[in-house]
Amino acid sequence: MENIIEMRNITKVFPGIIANDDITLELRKGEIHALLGENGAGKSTLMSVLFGLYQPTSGKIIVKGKEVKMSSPNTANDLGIGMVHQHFKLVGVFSALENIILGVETVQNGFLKMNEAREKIIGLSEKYGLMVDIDEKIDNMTVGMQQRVEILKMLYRDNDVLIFDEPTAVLTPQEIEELIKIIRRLAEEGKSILFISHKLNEIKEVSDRCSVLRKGKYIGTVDTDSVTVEELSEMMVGRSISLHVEKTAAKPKDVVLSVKNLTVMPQTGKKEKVKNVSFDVRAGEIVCIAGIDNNGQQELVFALTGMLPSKGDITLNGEVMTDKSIRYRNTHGISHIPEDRHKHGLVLDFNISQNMILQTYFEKDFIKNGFLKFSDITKFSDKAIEDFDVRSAKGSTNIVRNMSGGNQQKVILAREIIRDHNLLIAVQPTRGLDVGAIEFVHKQLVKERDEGKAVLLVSLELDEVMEVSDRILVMHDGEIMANVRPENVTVQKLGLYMSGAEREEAV
Amino acid sequence: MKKNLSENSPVFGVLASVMSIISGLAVGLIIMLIFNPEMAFTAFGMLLKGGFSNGLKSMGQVFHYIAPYAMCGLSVAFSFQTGVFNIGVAGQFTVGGMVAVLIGGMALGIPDPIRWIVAILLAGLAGVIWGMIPGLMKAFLNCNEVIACIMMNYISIYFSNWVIQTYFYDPTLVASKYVKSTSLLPRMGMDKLFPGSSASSAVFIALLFCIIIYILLYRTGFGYELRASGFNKDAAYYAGINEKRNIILVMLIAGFIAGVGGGMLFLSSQTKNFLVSEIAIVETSYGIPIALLALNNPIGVFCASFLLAWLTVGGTMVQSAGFPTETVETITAVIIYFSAFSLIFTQIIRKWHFKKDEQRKEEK
Amino acid sequence: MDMVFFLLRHMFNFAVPLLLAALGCMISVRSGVNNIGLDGMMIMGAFFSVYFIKGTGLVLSGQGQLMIAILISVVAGVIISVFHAFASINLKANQIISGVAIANFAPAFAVFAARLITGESVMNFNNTFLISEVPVLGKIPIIGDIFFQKVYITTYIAAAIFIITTVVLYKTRFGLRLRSCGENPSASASVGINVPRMRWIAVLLSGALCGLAGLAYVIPNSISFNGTVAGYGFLALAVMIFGEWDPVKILGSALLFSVAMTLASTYSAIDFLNQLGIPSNFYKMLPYVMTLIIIGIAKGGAKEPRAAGQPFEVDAR
Repeated sequence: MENIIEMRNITKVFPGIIANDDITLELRKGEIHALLGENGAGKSTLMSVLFGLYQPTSGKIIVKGKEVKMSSPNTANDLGIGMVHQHFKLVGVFSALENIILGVETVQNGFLKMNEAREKIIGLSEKYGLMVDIDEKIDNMTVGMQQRVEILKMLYRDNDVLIFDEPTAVLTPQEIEELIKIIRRLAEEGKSILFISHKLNEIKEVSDRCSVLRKGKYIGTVDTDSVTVEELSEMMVGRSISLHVEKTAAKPKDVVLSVKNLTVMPQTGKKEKVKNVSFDVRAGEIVCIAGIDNNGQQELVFALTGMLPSKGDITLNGEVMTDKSIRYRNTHGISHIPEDRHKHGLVLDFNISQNMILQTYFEKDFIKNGFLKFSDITKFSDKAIEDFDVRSAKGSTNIVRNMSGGNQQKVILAREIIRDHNLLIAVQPTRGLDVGAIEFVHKQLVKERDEGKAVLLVSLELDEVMEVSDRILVMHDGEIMANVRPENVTVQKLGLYMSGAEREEAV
Repeated sequence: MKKNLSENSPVFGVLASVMSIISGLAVGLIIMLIFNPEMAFTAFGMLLKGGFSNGLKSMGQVFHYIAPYAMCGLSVAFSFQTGVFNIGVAGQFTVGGMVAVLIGGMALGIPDPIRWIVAILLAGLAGVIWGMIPGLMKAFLNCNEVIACIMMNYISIYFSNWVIQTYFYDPTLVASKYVKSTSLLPRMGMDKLFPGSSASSAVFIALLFCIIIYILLYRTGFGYELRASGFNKDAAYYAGINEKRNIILVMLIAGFIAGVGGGMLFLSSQTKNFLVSEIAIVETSYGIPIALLALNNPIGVFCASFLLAWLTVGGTMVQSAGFPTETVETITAVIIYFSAFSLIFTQIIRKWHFKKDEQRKEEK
Repeated sequence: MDMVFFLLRHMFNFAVPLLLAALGCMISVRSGVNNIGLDGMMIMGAFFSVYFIKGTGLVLSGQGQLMIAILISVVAGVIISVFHAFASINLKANQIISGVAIANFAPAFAVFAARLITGESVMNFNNTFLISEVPVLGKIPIIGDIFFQKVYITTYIAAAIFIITTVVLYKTRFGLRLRSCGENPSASASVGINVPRMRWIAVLLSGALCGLAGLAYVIPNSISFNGTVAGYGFLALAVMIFGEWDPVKILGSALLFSVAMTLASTYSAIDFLNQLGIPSNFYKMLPYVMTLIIIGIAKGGAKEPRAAGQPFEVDAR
């Protein structure tokens, strides 16, 4: 079979790191080819090279038998290469139609002519089973629908090489199945597919061949059918990893957090994001909130931590917290590992020690007569760094901005776990981390539980949900659809709850 | 051998500021050359000569100008560091000046020895009121403080004009009457040291303010809180820091600094009166460039004020070479423009420094 | 009745520069570049065109002279906006600071240059631009009185620019692409739109409109220029925010603001207001106080283009 794209011996060096080290990738016409690697393995860099966002330090790119120089994303577009990015490239206030035609508009005397485009898009969506309301605004669509708009965007441009970057990260298991069907259909119609992922099961299910990257190096390409999931994972990480989190059965004790009839409005907009939700979290258990992104998890956590106002009752250790300030909750038992570590979790331009005292700088350990006690702060921070194995060039005085994502997360983890608390709320604490760091975070969560803390984990990754939690609450559209134990439920079943298709009787 | 500098060394920032100033001066020279090529270099030389141009008097004038500049710059820098853009310095300074002129000029039953203190404190209070309005609007109505401050600046002009015209006006001067000589700031020997100049204790008070704000920002828990909000207000919110309260406090303090600055300017010499005009007091336009050049560091503010005061004194000389005094304002505006690039300048210098470093390593 | 016409005509004269500058700013912001230097751009436009009018006062006059002056004001506005575009687009500098620099530079420069050229800070000129009555149309009752008598040609130009801007923004390829750059530039870039180029065009257009706005401010109001446009650039910023970044609403907002301006400048001609005995300084304060109140109550934040003020970085993901 002929190769439609060949990336030969691509090396890309950034000051200080080699992001891609002699990588070769061959995509055959009509195949579904997976690109496998951990976060930080160099997949994104390789794709940026393919799309001309970066020029490779060495190596060449051959498209349809001809060597080409990718000078900008336009070159790739012209060669029929399209990509669905992990973070969709859509304009929220535009309709689907406007998004699809953007950049390739048909015009008459400079004025937009939408009718031909509309017909072509309707034709395409029927052909590939991609039903979307093309006049709806992107902001009003579900993530799954937005993804379809992205696919239609590629098809409208007659692309024949379609690249999907982590396309399943935001979907339910059912939506994933749907997507896999669409991808197969596209391949049957002669499109060539490159499927980027770090999820082994999906790759095993969907792809014909698989190329593996690890730490910027090319490990090899295999026929997916001829390898096991375990073999793939060893190629990806370089050692055999146990995807299994070691833990004993939970021994839940007293209720620490009790939520009754909680309703939360979003920061902007008028639609309730959390609707009349009630649940408990006990000491010594990990309760996980599962669900598709943007189904009220963030608003729920913000309400619990005081970052958004709410109606209903939030009780912590028997004390009603609903109208208490963020600071009051911080100092009365809530620790919070936020979803967005750069936006909320860290002051990137402060050093490690300054970040370690973000919620406690006013306590008597760190302050005297209004003046900060720098030596005590440094001592405290040095110890935290050692206990949590935070790696940086200069220790406590290292500016956090200059650290890796994994080590930044460890700073937050250290701060929130050391702080006096009995409820730990962790929101997507492993997002964007490599396998080693993920294992570390999971171990810490289990350790917290074993020490008798209540842990509330919010996760979008079903594997993580199934492995780490003692109990699962599934959220959909601001409501809790199910309250189940991981041993009594399948991933498929969770998917049905997540999409709102089913609801557990008892809830 | 140069000492090896770390990534975040302040040296890079200082060098970037120096680059902004040099670029500003260079562009200024070009503009001067366009208008009057024959005299441009002469005038430019006069400008640079600044405090040395006319003996001790000029040097004294430099010290005189430092005070209002530093107070304006400090007000901006302090608010900048905490994530609020107090572009309303002009208004706070103006109402402060107006109040000080009234207190300094009218009897009002205040005993003379403490008159200047009362005048300056009330000037500060006027600045506080003027600064609080945009502060409250930002905190509670989520308004853009930049526009609110600019509106307050215009309002301050007409409001002060009205007060002066109603209570303390000399129509022949189109300005306020002169303040009593007993209301002036103590000279603290500056008049002996720099005869003929307006230098007074104002410069020491300004320095004191810079030091206090420095300690407040870098040594106290309150300062930690403010800087955390300034760097990342979302993280500060997450950490339970009360942003609304802090915005109001910041505008209160910034307004006080600017108001005191205005008060001190009008009580520094008896020849200074409050002009009734529709244009902002010129000293206030230096607040932003000084804060930018100082990288918002209070001690840096004092140094940058010295520099701009130097140029201002030089600027009063260029008239004899046929250039208007607006020369300095024009150059300062260009310096503001270049200080918008300070981040880029910093990166360039840093890159250049580390490249040399690497070469050195390779040579070894 | 004459009083009403008089006030309405005044209103238009104030609304025109506000509308032009606010539309200019809107174009820039909708491409993703904040522009707080409107005031400076207006001053530059006013300075150079007034200088031209003054300089050619002996040879030229009337509408012909004004048309050339308009061209000059546009060019001056474009030239000064180059600096803002370069700083905010190419160097990704702080857009607020760059804008403040321009707003500070222009008045200082205008007075500096006026002093060097004419010896004094104020430039007087011969104002021969009033159209006392447009033929035919001026005879229509009421409408003729309001729109076609005692007008300046800048009013009609502003009306045309308003219509063109609205149509281009919402009905053309250029408008669609421009809006996408202000909402999600990385999406625009991913479909091959040259974001920096779009933003350059937008900032230069804003400079052009502001330059014209500067001249449109000076012409009906006075026969001299002293290096200031009385903060109209900043008022236009508030007009834009109150107009929610939409041309039609901006027109309404500009007219609303112009009511305050009209009161501030014509109170002495209105007997009723004159008898109230309110000091003139309070009338002069009125537009600014009103702006302060309006930004206090306006809740425009939700409609602000999402990428406004954010430098565009070619990102790898």
